[in-house]
Amino acid sequence: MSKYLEKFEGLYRKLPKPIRKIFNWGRSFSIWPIHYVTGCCSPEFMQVCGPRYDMERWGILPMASTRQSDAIFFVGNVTRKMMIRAIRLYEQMPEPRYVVNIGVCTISKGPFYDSYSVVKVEDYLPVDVYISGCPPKPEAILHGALTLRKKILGEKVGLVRREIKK
Amino acid sequence: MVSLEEKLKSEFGDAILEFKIPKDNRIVVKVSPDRIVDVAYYLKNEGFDMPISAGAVDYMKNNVFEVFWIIWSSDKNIVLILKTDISRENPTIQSLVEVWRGVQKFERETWEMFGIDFKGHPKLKRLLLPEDWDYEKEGYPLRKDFSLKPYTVEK
Amino acid sequence: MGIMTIEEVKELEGGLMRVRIGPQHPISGQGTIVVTTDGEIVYDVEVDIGYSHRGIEKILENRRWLQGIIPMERMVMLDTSHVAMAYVRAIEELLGIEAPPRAQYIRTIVLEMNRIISHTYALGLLAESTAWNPAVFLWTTADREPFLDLMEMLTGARWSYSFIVPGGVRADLPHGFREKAKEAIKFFRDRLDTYMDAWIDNFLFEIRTRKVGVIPRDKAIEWGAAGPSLRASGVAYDTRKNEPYAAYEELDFKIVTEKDCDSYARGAVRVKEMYVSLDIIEQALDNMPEGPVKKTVPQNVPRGEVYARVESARGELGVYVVSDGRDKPYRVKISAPSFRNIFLIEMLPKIEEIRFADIPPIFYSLDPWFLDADR
Repeated sequence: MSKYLEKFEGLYRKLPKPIRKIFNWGRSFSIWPIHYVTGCCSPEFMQVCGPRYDMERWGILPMASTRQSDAIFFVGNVTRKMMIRAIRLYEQMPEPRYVVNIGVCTISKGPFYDSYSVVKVEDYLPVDVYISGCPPKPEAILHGALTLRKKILGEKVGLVRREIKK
Repeated sequence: MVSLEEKLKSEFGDAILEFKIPKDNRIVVKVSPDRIVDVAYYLKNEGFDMPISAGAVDYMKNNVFEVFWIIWSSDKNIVLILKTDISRENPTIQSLVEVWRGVQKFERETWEMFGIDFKGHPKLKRLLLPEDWDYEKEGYPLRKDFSLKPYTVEK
Repeated sequence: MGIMTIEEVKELEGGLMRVRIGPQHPISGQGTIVVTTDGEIVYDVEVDIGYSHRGIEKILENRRWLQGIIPMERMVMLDTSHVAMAYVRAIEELLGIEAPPRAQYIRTIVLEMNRIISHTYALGLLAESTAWNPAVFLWTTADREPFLDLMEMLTGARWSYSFIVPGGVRADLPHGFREKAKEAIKFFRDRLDTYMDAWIDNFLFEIRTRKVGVIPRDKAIEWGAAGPSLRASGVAYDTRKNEPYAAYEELDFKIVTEKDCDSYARGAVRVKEMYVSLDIIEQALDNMPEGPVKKTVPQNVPRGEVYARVESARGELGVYVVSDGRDKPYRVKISAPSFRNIFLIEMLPKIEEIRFADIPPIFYSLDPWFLDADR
């Protein structure tokens, strides 16, 4: 099975540019994250899913199962006990996959900077987009999601192999 | 509540170390640790029936842990704080689970954070800390000799 | 949606299975329920929390009194001003001062708006777990917006205000706040009538929640339930009447209780409490006195120990503060309402027969907010 994957990856690199652009365009307009609200930024994330700051018109549909999702949004502070399960969720996702940090607690522990139980996400997983705020306003979360879309549109390779650090 | 103080002192004598009424509907009672269960049953019969909270305070200078339980009475509308002192080197005390069922979860958390052993508790299992927390290397979190410096994010 | 992801299923002896409804599930928060069942009847339930434990009690020993309001507020994001009010009430009792009357009325308005913001969330979850999604959940998400806009107009932030401080509140009401608040109240009253007609008085909701998860009155007191879960079992316990704070002594309102003790009663109590909250906000806006809104307080708090409590949306929230005369607290013990309510489901299989499909309506009618329970 893995030799087919390698063959596909090699083929994808050799595809002409317009066809690669079409694949990227299709992927970027429908980012499906796992609904994974861990901390106090979660009410703000729910307001973004609501009718006023509608997230679904941008193609972002939360609440999917792990085997069918594209991204994992860490909404709020992540503790040591939860990080073990989060790594397992990350391993269950198929490639290509992205990680988005929402809130200042995931970037640098925020107001709990000397807590014995909160950890920084970038010590464990590779991160793509950082959105800061405590909690960030809904317009800021949408701006972050659209930055992810810009990143996907500009990608040169299809399958990105990333290693988990711990 | 003069009558409650007289009743307690006449029944238990020297075991009641302190009895204070700081405000309208608050009572603070300090008891010696060997008669704590009898005092608790007596208070339950007097009408104090709903447990609100339980925990401990670490007084490192005097070398004691002060364990407290907070109970409310539904017909008199009074909050009572029941306290007792135990030693810091070998902290054990009788659990009050038989008297009020609701204190089970609070005593479990106090065991986890301070290391106080409650005798007679049905389920002393880890609740809030992660599973790979090692008490030998890292210590008990809420004691006063547990420092937060290794966990602080440097600027 | 409304379906929980099952993470692992193990075989035990006697044909019983242990099902772990794991920490990543689409309804709310992170917490695990481990259910021992034979496929239909539930024999044992165990609750596994601690996935959002941040150690707030230890952090507060390292912060000055005014700085400590920031981690305290983030303990529960839905009704942040109640947690701040409990801490501030304890500090003011130790200092022996009282806030000026205009500040008390402004505090009442902020607290009651927070109660509405929080109850809409609880009802949205209850609806989602009894398969009324996504309609009622999205209704409640949209109906919260006028109140969030009002809070942003008053304090500058939508969820975490840092507005209630020892000595009063930080700022006075801006121009145009009173008219906008009255518009929002009128809008929300019509919406509440819609909820009662379309959802609470509906046969389909009743059939899923009547006589399910009955907690009798004496058991609710013995196990230590709190808040609307206690009031739905007939106990008239409300800290706003037992120990009044802010401006509640001068306002006129009733406590809502129900007699049925089941999940339906717990949902109905929350909707009726929102009607009461709207009345309180209107009375406070009409009768507000004039005067200053803040007093200066000293940095060091004198020695003592005090237990202060408020009635948050989930129940009674109490803070036991021990101070030794410095500018930082010595010990803070927070008694969280969700911590008391979540463990009620562990006791239920012992007194009545529960089926596996009844677990979502029971669990989400108790309003579990795991961030609150883990502190």
